[in-house]
Amino acid sequence: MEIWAEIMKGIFTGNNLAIAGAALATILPGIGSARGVNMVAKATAGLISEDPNKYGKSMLLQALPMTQGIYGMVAAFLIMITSGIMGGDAALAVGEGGYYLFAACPIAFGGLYSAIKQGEVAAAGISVLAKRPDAVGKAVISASFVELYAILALLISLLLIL
Amino acid sequence: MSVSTMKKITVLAYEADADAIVRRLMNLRCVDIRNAGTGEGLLPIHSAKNDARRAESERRIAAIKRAIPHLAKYTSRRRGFGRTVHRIDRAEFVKNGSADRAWQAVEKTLAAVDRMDSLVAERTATLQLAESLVPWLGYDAPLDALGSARTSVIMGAYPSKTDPAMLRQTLEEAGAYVEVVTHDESGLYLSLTVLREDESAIERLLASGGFLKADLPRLNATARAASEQAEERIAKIESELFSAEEQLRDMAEFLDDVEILYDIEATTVNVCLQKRKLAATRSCVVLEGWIPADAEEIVTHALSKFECACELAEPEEGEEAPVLLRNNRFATTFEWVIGMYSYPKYGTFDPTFIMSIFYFLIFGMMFADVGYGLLLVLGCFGGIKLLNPKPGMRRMLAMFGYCGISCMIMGVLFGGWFGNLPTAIMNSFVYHADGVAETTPIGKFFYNGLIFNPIDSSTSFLVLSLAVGEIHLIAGMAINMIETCKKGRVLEAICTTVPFWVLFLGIDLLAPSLVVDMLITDPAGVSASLRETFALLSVIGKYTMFAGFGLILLFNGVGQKSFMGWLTKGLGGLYSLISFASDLLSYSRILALGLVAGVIAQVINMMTNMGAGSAAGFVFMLIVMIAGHVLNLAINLLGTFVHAARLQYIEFFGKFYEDGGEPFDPALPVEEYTEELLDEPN
Repeated sequence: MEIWAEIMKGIFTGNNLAIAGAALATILPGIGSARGVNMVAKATAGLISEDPNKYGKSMLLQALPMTQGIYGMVAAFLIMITSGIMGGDAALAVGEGGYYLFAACPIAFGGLYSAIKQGEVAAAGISVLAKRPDAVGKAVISASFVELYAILALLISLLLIL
Repeated sequence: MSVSTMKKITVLAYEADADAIVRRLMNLRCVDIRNAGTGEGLLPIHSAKNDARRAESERRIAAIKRAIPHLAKYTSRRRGFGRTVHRIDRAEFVKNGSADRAWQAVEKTLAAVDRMDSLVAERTATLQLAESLVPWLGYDAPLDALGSARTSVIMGAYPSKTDPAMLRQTLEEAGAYVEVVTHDESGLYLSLTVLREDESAIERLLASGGFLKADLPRLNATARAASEQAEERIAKIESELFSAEEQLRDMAEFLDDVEILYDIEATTVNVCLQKRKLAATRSCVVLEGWIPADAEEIVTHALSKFECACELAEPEEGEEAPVLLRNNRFATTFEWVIGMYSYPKYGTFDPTFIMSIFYFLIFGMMFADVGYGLLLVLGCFGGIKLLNPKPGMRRMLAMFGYCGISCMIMGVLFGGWFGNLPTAIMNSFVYHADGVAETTPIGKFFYNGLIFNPIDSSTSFLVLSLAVGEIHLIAGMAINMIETCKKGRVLEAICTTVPFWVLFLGIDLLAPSLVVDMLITDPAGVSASLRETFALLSVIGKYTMFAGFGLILLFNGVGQKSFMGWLTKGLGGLYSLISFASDLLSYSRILALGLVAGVIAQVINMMTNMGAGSAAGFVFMLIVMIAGHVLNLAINLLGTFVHAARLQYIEFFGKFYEDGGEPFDPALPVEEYTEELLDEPN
């Protein structure tokens, strides 16, 4: 039992919890963005096999679900900088590290889900581009509404971290 | 800032003049030609000739579209970034034969391109042939000598690593005469002469060893002679290609004319499409459409040149006239934002000007940064100058340019200069410590702006956002009130609006004492006398607010005939406060978008500051910083544009807007490459 306690103590240090927060903030929105972009890119492949000239217009729709991954990275950087992990002199108490872990949660989960859902809307937008290229601006706007929830999640994470 | 009054125009003219009249009206750019009603002796226009004309023009357009990229490749015309626009008189261009010459140039170009395509294909085939002959150059029999009555010649190759001596032995034992032609890393090339009766047995033997028959042309010449012939042919092809290219280069001189011809043909297609909308009698045509009332004189003057009858009428009851918005230079650029939602119904209020002011303001608050604003201004107004875009694009760029100005103003107010770049630079290069520059006067100006920094004082910024929202909503209600008054329902207009304003006033009076402790954490910052004033205001505000509730309950139902109707309306008015609250809270997105842009910029600055120690690090981090800020600009630009528009569409328009207007869509000449010289009104 003692060895387990030792291991637990070694893993759940303040620094490690803050790192876990930064890791979550990068990994989860990253997964979401990858999934979202993947969906739109697959839909685009179908479109450009019909009409390669529309690729330029499809790029904006493909880029939309990328932002959550970037937001996650911004939050992760901020955790690394403010906690001192990046400067190298961090010695956080468990509670302090845990604070960063929880502060990362909004963008981690909000980013994950909103990126996938935004990808769905943007992929549907690709079919708008196929049938009514002139209306693609409206499809972009619909997709960017989903973005708001990633922005809100990022905002709360950033305000907590700062 | 108004919806232009429209008049319905009906023109009766000889069929022979139809083409000229439609062209003339098209050049005036102010006639929306509609499908003329048929019946009562009016028939759809005879369209066979018209359609044939259109088909011919469309065929030419397809050819021109194919030719233009080839000509553009060889042209000596200086290519700028922008769209080149020729200003010419098209009628003159057709009359002096330039149009015919341009069409000949297109035909010659396409002929040259087709010839080049077939030459290139032939060159590829010939090169392949020459290559396949290379291993057989030492073989001195003609390639079509494949045996006699008794013998057969088999030519082909084994994989390179086959041992020739062993192979020869095996094959000779089977009865073949073996001649090794070439043996190199590409293979072991053999010519076998066998008796016809042994042929099938030897072929089986060959197949088991990985033998591949050579696929050679049956030429009555040796491989060497055939190869020499191929080389001659290639040289000839090259020279023909060169001359075809020369011809394209000559034709490229006509690029400008070809572009003009494109516009002429495309305009003809449009004329044909517009003419299909006319109705016809035996020898006359009827044209129906809409014109703005102020264009009446120009149109009737233009039509007076033709033998035709023209009638102008006000729109009838129940008839939907198309909507043309008239605004000043600033607000005009925002019209497309309205167009994305829906144009206002004909005869209702055009909110473009008021919306443009709020859009300008809210966009700036959501993206309060001098640096990004400057980039927008330079990019958009520079783009208009350099690229010479089409009118639609030009307006959009101008709108974002104006919004960039707003960003810069707000950036000065709220301290955004690529985030906190000035203080970050000062801290790392002057003070070598964090948080010092912000306390110096210069740093304070850059960091806090003239009012406050939204990141440090986010609650204040939230209150400010909601305040802007309140003004926006009240403006919407005021428009509704004025519009209802105009319809003659003055009492209803006042009773359904003013009680809400009383309530809002009460809440506004109450607000300072509620939020002052949230906004100013330093207790010394608020003087006792100010606190007393706030307390007094809050008492007044409380009673005003209750009065507001009462007034809404009492007056919202004014005009209802029954008591129940009055009560329901009054309670409904109170209930609608919930939607007001949700509308108001929606403005907190100003805070969200504003902060995110600023914080991401700060993080970029923080990251790059850390790595900028050495000279190489400095250069690398400079690149990272520029890329980061450009990315931030791109991400936030879209969000800001969309959410600033949404606040107009849902919250603001929801208070008064009557949508569903059909945009005025005048018949226009096509101006892809040229600008038609506006013909004189005389």
